[in-house]
Amino acid sequence: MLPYLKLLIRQRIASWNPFSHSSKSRSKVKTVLGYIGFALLAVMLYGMLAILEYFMYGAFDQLGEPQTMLALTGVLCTLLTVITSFFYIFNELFFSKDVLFVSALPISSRALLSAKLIRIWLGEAGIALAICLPVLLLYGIGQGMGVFYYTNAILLTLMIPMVPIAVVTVLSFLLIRVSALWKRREALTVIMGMLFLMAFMWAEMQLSMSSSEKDMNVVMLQLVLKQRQVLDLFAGLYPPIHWFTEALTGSGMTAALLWVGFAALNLAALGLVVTILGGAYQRLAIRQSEALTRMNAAAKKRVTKQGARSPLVALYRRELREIFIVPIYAMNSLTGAIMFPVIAAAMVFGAGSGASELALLPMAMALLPKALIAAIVTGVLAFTNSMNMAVSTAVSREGKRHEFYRTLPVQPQIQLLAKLLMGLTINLICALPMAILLFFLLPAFQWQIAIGFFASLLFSTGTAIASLMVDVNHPKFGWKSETEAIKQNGFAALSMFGAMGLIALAAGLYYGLTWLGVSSAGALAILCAVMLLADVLLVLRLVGATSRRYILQEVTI
Amino acid sequence: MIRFEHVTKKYAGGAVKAVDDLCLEIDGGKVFGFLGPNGAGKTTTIKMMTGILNPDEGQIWLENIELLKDPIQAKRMFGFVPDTFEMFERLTGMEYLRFLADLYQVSEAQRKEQMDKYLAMFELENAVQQQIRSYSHGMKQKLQIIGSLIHKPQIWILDEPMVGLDPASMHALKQEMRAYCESGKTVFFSTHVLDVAERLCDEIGIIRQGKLIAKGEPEKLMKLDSAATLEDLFLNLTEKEA
Repeated sequence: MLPYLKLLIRQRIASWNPFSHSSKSRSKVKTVLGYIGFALLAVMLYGMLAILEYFMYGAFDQLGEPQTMLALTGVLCTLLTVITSFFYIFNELFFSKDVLFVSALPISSRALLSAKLIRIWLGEAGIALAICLPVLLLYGIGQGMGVFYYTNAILLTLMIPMVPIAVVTVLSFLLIRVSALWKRREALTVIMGMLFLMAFMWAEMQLSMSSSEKDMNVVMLQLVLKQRQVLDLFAGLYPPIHWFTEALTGSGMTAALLWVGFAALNLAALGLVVTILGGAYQRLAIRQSEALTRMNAAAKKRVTKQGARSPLVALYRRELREIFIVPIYAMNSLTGAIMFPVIAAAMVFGAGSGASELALLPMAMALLPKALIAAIVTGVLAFTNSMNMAVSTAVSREGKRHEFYRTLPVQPQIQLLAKLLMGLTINLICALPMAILLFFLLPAFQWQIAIGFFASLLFSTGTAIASLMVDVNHPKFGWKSETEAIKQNGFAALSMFGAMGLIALAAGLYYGLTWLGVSSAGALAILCAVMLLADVLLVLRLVGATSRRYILQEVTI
Repeated sequence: MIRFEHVTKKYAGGAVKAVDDLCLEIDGGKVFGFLGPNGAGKTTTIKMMTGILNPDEGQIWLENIELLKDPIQAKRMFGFVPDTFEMFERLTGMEYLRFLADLYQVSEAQRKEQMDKYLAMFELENAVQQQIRSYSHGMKQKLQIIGSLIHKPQIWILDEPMVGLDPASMHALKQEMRAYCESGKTVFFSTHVLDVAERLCDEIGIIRQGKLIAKGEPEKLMKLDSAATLEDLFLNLTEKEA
């Protein structure tokens, strides 16, 4: 087991080396800058978490029970491990590329599972420690704890993810064994990913709307009281979280026994999983790797009918289908379709105290000029569409396939139009749910919503064309994974921020026009006319110089 | 008919010439084998004649259509089998073939005729409903071969077509290449399998360091160089030049 575990760990460490990913066409300076940017982002996010924990700790301290914050972070780590590691563990155990290769090596099935679970635990333990560290330090400093506390704290925190990993592993085995879901792994990934995103957005909305107060301390106190209920519920279901807190904060024999109990439970959970499921693991993983072949064997009987199509339609269908069948593309392109309807629904249906204020929203809106409402709807829907990564990476996503497209007897204009049509379809898919929701939530403004919806399409068409043109000029063909093609695409991110900037600029212009005395309706009409003109000019540019540049782009990796 | 006129492709700011002043003419109704050591410029040449790479200098004509002037019409003239399959892994074989037929605007009758013929020839009838990513290398290669013939092109370009094929498929491919040129069309292929080239080709071209160092009928070239086999000729020429 040890050599394989070492290999897994070495692979993971190597994946952090910025230069192991850099291609010939990417300079070292760019790679280093990219990593510095990523590190800054990580530091910023971690700082936000630490600040939140700091304020929450302060609130619990005010209530005279700072140890509850320790329990809360323990709960947070446990739940986070279950939720976030589900797909990771599922993929690592049953969909990793080395399953067949390792099967040919003299490693037992149990040793294989042990190595994989230890690797997973190392990663999750690091995350758990990072999450808990600010609270552990705050408590340690606040209560004047000694070295023994800090050593204990680190050891106990590192053990927190063991039970969740064991639970998720059992769930993964069950899922693979009792269902045929593995045959539709990608569809499952898309659906689960979307549900996770929706749940995340919903939770975030609940958190942000849990108080209307501006005073941070009052906000935290309200939040803390809410979290207490969650904590009590969770502790009732999972008592070891109390053992964790008591072992950390208590003293004497009881604390020592709880320490041993918590450690034994976690180690036993992983040990039991390996003992009970380890023997069957390799067989199941190999069976899963053959699932595609078995599914294909069944597909022989399926007869599909399809008539001849024009090249534009064929390319458009291919582009659109690719977005839906590749999970990472679907997740990154359809975010807007989920995010804003969920936010709106959370505001209306789940806001608690905030709901009464939201109920006043239609009345407040009645006081505004109706054209302004149309403009606001335009801005919101255009913003939704600005997150569409499908069109801004449409050329990059071709990768080496660009060579194939270059050999086709299809005009480059047609090829780019197919990509643009795909992007506009995704825009429509993103904007429509929000528009429908607004249609029902604000029945008095249905005309304004309809106008806003169509006006937003004018904006998003322009930004879609512009982002496609950026991608034509700066394609990223040399990707190795689909994630790299869409998520780690700097120019696509630039296009997204550019589109958001354009919306802000349009809002500024709208304000400026009304300030100059133009009516709200007139200002919106002027902006729409400008965008329509821009759209026409951009389309002409796209089918002209840009399409020539597109077909002349060479794949350099 | 294929014609290259002083075609050059440079890299590293012109310091490296992958293809250097290539002049070559291949008449219709011939099987042309393009030979050369690794890195000699075969694939670069093929990529230029299929529109994948832009030549830095020179012109390429395919069936009297200048590739750079009328690329769309020129691309209708050929079917291309690249040396790797890096595309559309999530499609089924049938979806891939239909997609190609749509792009080449092949009528329903013709696509059915071509698919029936070649799927049977390469024994892919059962696998064609399966996803391409489940295919072996040889199956992917066969699918590319079928795809390249779906629109009955005038010129058939193949880059290392024998790699990964089983003996039966290799035999079927060679026969099809021969039948293709006998119907007046041109077959242009690169290969390292010199036995195949010797038996199959009406003409061969040998390229080394981007320059065409020999071109003609295999027998005549062998006689000129007093070589017993094409392998001897190839080694003589490439080593002599080195």
